[in-house]
Amino acid sequence: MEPIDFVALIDNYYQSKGYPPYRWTVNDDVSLSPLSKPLSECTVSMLTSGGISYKIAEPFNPIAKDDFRLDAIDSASADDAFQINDSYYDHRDAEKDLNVIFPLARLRELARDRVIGRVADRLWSGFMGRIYKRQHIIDEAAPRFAEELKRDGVDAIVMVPA
Amino acid sequence: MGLVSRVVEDFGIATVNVSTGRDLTAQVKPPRSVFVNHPMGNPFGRPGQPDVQREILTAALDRLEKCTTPGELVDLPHDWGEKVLTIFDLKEAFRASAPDPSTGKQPY
Repeated sequence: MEPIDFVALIDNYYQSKGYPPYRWTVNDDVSLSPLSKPLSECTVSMLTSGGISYKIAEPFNPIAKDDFRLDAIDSASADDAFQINDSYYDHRDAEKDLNVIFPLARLRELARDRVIGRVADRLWSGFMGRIYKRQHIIDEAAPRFAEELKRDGVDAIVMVPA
Repeated sequence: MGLVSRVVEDFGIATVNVSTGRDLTAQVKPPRSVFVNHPMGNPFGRPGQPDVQREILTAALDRLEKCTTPGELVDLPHDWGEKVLTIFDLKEAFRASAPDPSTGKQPY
């Protein structure tokens, strides 16, 4: 099956609402920071932008725009400790099994099986969709996030957009 | 999230994105990505399928060691097996509404 053409879908949606055309970020190049050691020795973290928070915490605003909330998730958390609030994707399956979107249990298994070195103490939920202040991400929010990862000795991170 | 990946990578931390929006990821160009042709809420497959979840996560982690081309986007072979629906197909089910204050859940 062909991948969905999201750019056309979103462009059409904006047009149908009478909004100005969506201004896409298009980058021509990027640089790599290769791993400095084998994956089996690396500390690995994970970030979801799927509106996932602890049940005992405030829910994410499901229709948020420019929401820079970023929650730390204890990597030893139980799968059923979370709620999901995001109006822009279907998370009914993820509510039955968090691992379809945030494979916390699988990541721990891969550490146990020595595929990765260890799971970072903190995993992350934030950078929800519909952030229009892109320069703020580049100049402030993402650098601050990177500093948090450094503090935990993170070598690599799995990024799961939703 | 691709933008976040680009910045984090510049801080010396290797990133890999697990994308369900191939064209969106291709234009933002995070450092390394895998594309899974699944619905946006199911990048690692269906509930109760730990083997599939693990396979996709392992394939993503594998890119951290194997990718040498900046911005490379690898298509994973996983097939959803039915039409992949988006929010545009599900607008009625996912209409914007406040979560129920007692449960924190969003009413469908």
